[in-house]
Amino acid sequence: MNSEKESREWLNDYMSLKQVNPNNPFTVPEGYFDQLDQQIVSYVKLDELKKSSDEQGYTVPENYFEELSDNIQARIKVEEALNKEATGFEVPEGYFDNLSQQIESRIFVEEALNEKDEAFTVPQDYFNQLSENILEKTIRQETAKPKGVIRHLFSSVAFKYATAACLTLIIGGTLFISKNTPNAVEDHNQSFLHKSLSAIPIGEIQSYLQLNADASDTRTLIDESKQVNADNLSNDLQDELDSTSQ
Amino acid sequence: MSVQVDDAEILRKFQDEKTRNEAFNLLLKKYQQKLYWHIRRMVVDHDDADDLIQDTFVKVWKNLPGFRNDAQLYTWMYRIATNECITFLNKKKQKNNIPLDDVAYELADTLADSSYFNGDQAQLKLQQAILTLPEKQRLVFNMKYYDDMKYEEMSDVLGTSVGALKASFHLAVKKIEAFLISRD
Repeated sequence: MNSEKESREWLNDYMSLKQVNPNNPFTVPEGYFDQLDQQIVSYVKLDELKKSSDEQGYTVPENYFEELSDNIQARIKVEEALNKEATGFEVPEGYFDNLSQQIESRIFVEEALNEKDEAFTVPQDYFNQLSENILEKTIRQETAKPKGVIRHLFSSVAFKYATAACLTLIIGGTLFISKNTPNAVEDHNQSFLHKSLSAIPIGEIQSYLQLNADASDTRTLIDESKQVNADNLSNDLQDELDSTSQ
Repeated sequence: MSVQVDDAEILRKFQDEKTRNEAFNLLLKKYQQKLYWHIRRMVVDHDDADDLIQDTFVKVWKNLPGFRNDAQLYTWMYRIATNECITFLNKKKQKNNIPLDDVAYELADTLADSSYFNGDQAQLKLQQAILTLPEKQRLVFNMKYYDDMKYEEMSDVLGTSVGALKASFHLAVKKIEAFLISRD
């Protein structure tokens, strides 16, 4: 191919092209053509083997391909029927359409909650040491604590004197008050009721009570809301005496 | 260089199963380089050319039993190789989703980066000019310029009339000359 070309007169009309070296500028790897025929023969044999393995050696039953599509369709129907029976479970309509979205939402919420929990942090190994620290500050410290001297608020001698003084005051005060206070009899003698009734003879009072007193007397006086004063009581008694004397 | 066996002798040997492999080996030795360079100039890259030359001879092996003697064995194999090249370039165009002109640019880049190109600047420029041509014109120019093939043989290979091939060739040469002048 690299030999000089003959009958190239046409190149005389194209001077630029004529100046170009007409030899083949392309090259091939060294020894390429020495092995090319062997490579091609191997390639051809390989291709024949491939063709023979595709078309020969295996056979199929008669009319296999004619019936193949029908058989496949029948098999598909059987598989579908079996699958329906096998599952038995149903899901709400559109369940699987929304499932991925729901899962994503759930994950988002979970992550948000987790982030919230993690907003506060503790020093590393804090909880591992926490119980130890607490024990250290409570039980162990208590047991290790030296016994202190119990100090009483009051010394025994001062407390005794104070107690005696208080008792003296209480007793003395009580006696003083009781001596200076009039007793119930004297109080009664000085009361208006005593003064009013003492002027009336006992016999008249007894006869009055025998004739007029009953269980509801006291209540009647209260219910009538009469003002209990000296004048009212005197008048009532006077009226009673008058009526009995008549 | 070994003595090349006549095509008729190769075909005769190929008809006999006992000598079929021998005939195919003779065919390989006689035409492998010619067909390789024909393919290589079209696809530029050596590895692509290596794949295509093997595919070409596999097709030759498969189809040679049905080869009719009314055509030249040489031009028949060229046609197979040419069809392999065109199919490859079309696949490359579809795979990369680029127009054929851009395939030519890509091939030019391949040429510039190729470690198996030993030409000088003028030869590189010529190859770049050839790659600017439409596919058919590239084929015609390469077969005439490098392989010095006759128009009648090219007509057998490409299935195009001799007149159309001559027109294509002259058009291609003018474009190449203009390219070379513009880049001087």
